[in-house]
Amino acid sequence: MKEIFDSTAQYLESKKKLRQLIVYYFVFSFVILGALLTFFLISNDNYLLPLIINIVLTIIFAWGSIYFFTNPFKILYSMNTFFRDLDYSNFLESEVVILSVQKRKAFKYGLEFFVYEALEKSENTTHQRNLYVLELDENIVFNKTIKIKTIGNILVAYEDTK
Amino acid sequence: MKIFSWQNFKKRLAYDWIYYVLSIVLSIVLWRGAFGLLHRYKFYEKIELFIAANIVNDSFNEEIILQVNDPSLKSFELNQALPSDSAFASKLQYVGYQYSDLLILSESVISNIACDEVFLLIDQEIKESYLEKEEEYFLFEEESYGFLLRDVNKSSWLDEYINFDISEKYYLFVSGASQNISNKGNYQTPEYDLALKCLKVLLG
Repeated sequence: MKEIFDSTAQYLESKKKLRQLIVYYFVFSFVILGALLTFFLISNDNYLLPLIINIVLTIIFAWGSIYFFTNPFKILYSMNTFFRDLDYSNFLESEVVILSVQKRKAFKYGLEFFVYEALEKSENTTHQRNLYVLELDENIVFNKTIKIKTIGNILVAYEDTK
Repeated sequence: MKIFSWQNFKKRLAYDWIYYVLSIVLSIVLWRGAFGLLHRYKFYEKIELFIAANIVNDSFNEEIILQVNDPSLKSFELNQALPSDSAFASKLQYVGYQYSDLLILSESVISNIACDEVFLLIDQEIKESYLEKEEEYFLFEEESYGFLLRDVNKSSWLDEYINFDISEKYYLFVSGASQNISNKGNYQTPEYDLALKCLKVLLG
């Protein structure tokens, strides 16, 4: 079966990136806070210029922090949680025919997923099923029965049954 | 999934724009407050004058700073209260006695005050060290407590700035609670005497 991703490796990588990101953020914070304190403490009675500098620096710091926590940190943290959970989850195997890729994206674990529309055949019934992937896989075949491994409808691995 | 993505940022901005706006407002408010607090005038850098009359032009405080010509005097602040105001007694009690260094009061207002409890006794040392000419004093129990600033027949250089009641006498008093009267009042601050240095300028 071809694995779409190696959850253990991805988990470790996202953890490493998350740590790096936090270190960068702390360095950025210390530099800005140091500058803010310096300008504040060396200011004299004519403090208009240091006041303006401190306001601008604080806005840069605040915007940087808001961006950091709502974008890269949030995404990496979600990825980290997602890959960690994958590592400890039970896979479900089934056979499906993938019909198409939907234009809309879906959110799971705070991450954006592409959605494959598929048909699952089990004994006498056939029902429609959505499968989620983080990145589109160019090798995946459409309109052909394939074996898949999923966790909570997230496609983890697949195999052409031939 | 990209960690740094312009598309993601644009999507998130729809939800988070309020935080970006609030951070601007908070930065301005907090830093203005912090700088204001750090550089607020110390008690020995400012003089507060309480006036029981209507101030028509408050620009004379700058003139007083110039004439006193002491680099430690950075601010001369004015507090106005009208005797006809129902809250006058409270203002005099809290703003006048407790927070002002100097007070300009009319004779009708002073008549109800125990001067020895709130005002500085004008002793010989003050007269010799801080005044240039002989002044007329307000006497309370035969002691000098205030300087005649304006009489019905005596005008003051402050007439163009303060709307005095022309039928009243006005006196200048020094608050005993001032920290700018050397060690003569309630506080032992011998190195700070700005309030006394302002006397001759105010008296003209």
